[in-house]
Amino acid sequence: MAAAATIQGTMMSSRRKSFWIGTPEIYFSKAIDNSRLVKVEDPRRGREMRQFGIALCCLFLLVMTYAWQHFKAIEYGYQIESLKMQRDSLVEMNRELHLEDASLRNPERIDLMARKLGLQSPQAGQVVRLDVSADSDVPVIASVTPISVISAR
Amino acid sequence: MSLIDEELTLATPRAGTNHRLYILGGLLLLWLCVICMRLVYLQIFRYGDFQQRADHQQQRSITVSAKRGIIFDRQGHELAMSILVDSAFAVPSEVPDLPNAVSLITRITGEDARLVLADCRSRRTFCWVARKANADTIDRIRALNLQGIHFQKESKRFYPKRELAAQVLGYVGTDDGGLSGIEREYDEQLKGQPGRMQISVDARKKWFARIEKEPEAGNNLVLTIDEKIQYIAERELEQAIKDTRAIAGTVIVENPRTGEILALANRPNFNPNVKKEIRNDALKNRAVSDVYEPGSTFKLVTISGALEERLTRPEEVFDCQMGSIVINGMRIRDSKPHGLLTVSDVLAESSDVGAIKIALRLGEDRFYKYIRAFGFGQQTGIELPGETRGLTKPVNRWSKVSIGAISMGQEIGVSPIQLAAMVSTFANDGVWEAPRIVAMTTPPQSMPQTVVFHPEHERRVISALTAAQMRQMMRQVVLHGTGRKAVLEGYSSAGKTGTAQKVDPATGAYSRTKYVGSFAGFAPINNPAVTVAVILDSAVGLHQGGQVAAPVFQRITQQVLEYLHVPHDLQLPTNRQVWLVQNKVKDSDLDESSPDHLGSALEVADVGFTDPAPAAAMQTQKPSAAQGPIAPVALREKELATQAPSTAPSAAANSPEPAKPPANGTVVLDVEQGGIEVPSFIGKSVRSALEAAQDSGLELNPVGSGIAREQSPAAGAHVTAGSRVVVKFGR
Repeated sequence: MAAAATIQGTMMSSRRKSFWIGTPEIYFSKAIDNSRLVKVEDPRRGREMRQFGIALCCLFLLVMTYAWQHFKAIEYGYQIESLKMQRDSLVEMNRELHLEDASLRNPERIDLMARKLGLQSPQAGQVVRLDVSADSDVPVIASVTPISVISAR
Repeated sequence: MSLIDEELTLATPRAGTNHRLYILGGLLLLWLCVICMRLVYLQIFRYGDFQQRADHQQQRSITVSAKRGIIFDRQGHELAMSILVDSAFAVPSEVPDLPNAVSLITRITGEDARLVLADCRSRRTFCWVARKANADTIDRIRALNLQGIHFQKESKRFYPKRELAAQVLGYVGTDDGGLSGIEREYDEQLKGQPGRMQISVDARKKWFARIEKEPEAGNNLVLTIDEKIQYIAERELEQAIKDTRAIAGTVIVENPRTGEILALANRPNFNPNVKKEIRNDALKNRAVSDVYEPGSTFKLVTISGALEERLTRPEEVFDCQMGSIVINGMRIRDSKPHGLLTVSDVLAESSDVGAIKIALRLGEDRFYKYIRAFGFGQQTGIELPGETRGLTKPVNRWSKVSIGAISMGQEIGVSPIQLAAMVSTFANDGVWEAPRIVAMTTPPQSMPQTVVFHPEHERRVISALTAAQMRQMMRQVVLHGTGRKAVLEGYSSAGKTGTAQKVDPATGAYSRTKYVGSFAGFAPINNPAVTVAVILDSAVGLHQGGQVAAPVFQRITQQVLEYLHVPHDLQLPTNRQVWLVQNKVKDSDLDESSPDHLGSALEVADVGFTDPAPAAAMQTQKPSAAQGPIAPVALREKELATQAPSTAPSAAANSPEPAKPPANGTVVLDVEQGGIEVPSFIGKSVRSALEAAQDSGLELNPVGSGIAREQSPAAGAHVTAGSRVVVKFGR
């Protein structure tokens, strides 16, 4: 029955909706005096707050350290890349110089230049190798040969 | 109840609305499902297809060639190397006016604008416009500042020594693939792993990304060639080609002990840096792929086979029947009539008749066995592409005249490298070494190192004693035979000349005007350091091997021995001008065997063996006697005194008496003076022979055990200190 009454009430209110303007609201001012209240010191909370602050500082330092090393790593990465490029460039330049050196050492070129200067091929017995009888006390010119083939026999 | 009815009355239209909403929701769900299924179909089942189509439209993957390995000579000098150069490419979708851009670029590069434009129009994302251009060209293209033209580094092959050893090295194509020579044979090791460059284009057709896979450099290669010896060989060959107007020529310099090729020169040749100018005939490496009839140089095989089988001796006398012999009804003539000749003189005078008689004694089967043992009819295994096996026939396919023809170097085809290997066998105490030209491969970033070259394939063909006998006989060829222009200053040398007719392609018969002249020899005699083979094709005018090829051998060998600092084994002439005058030889004196060929139309024999009487009469007129042998008197007398007529062939037995040295006219050259006189070891035990050799300052090479029976060099010969003397011992 209560449910039926509620439904009926609802239906009635819907019928009155057209002229109902709402319940008037009335406000009253009430003074509250809590000046006598005194905040009791809470050492536990204070400790927690300090711990939280320290943790926050640590976290901040960690984040900052991470960010610093991250950006430093990027910076070093750029430097490494730059040095790699420089190294590759130097290696390539070295190869080009080797190529130029090999071209300049072309026996045909040297032979032509020597003949233009009036030099002639040595006759039999005129070829003397200086390194064959080199004395150990006598300084010799150092030379680097990357590869040399010697016969096993 | 009335309220409920009213509520039901109010709820009925709401239920209808909900029903329609359900239908709409269902439709939406169905639509969503269809979309999802379509997405699944497109993104999962058709993923590969669409990805491929997208990649095709948006991306282009370009292979970037890796840096090829360096090719070094044996001293570590670079013969071929690659460096990075710039290439220019276009992204056609980015270029606003493609025809104009291509036209501007091709004006700089000199390439065909239509071809480049057609290539660029057929592709959206990438096309080369200037590949591996030189720095000047790239700078000029860069200066144009064209939109959509980009630059990429690529590896380019350079040959700093230009034409030097061009046929050995070969060359590479635009994509760095080896096309000939070592570059082709060792392409897999040299080329490395290529990298990849990926070019992507966004929706606005902008080139926006490039992902590269770094290429990995290939291995380096170390050759046995020495660039200075190679240059000496090429320079002298070039001079010989100019002097003789030959159409082609080949020179091989080999270390006979190990089979290392120290130089391999060919003419005509090419500059591998200028690919557009390479002619096909210049590409051919004649040293390994040319087949020619060796001519008289093949007599070395004939005579060494007979010596090894103990069927003859160097001092045995053969009747050369005044330079005429009949085989199966065909007459063969020597260029000069020879009477009685020792086996040594048969080789020195290059008598065809003598060689044929020796071959007949050897027999077909044994002769063929030695032909194969010396490496003819099979590849030597040298690391160069296109090596020929030569042309040999098994005995069952020989005609009745084949043994005669082959004994003097006809009816058989050999390559120059086979010839060099055969001559090296005599220099290497009878052991055949496979010629090799690659010492080893090394990693790209290898440290300085020394490569020890070990011979891999070797086999004994003849004994050390036979080899020593052959060396002495070949020495006589140079001293008083057809190879007199091969005499060296301060070094002893040995060799054999050869002249072969060429087949005329027009007639299919042997030409009467085109010859292949050759000389193959080694030096010094007792401790050979190099073997040199020289072949000149179709020399104009003088064409005999002794006239055109022997001087080239002399010039090359002299320089190479001096360069290698091989100690002189002969005293240097005190007065070079006198020495040159003494060694001046008339070209007419160097004529060797007749160009008669058994395969061509030869006259039918009308007589049998030549009467011995005129042979004996001519014996005193033989050229060697008339000119005077240039061997030491003691050696010559010893050789002739030890002739054994009992073992002479039947024809030789008809001669009344063995040949005698001329009463006068013997010339002893300064080059034979000095050195150590070889003592006689005959009759001594191994121990006493070793002691005698040690006392004399010689190195003994004993063969067998018991009492010394034979020795080479013969007693009385003058050799340098430390030379080896081969002594055969028997019981």
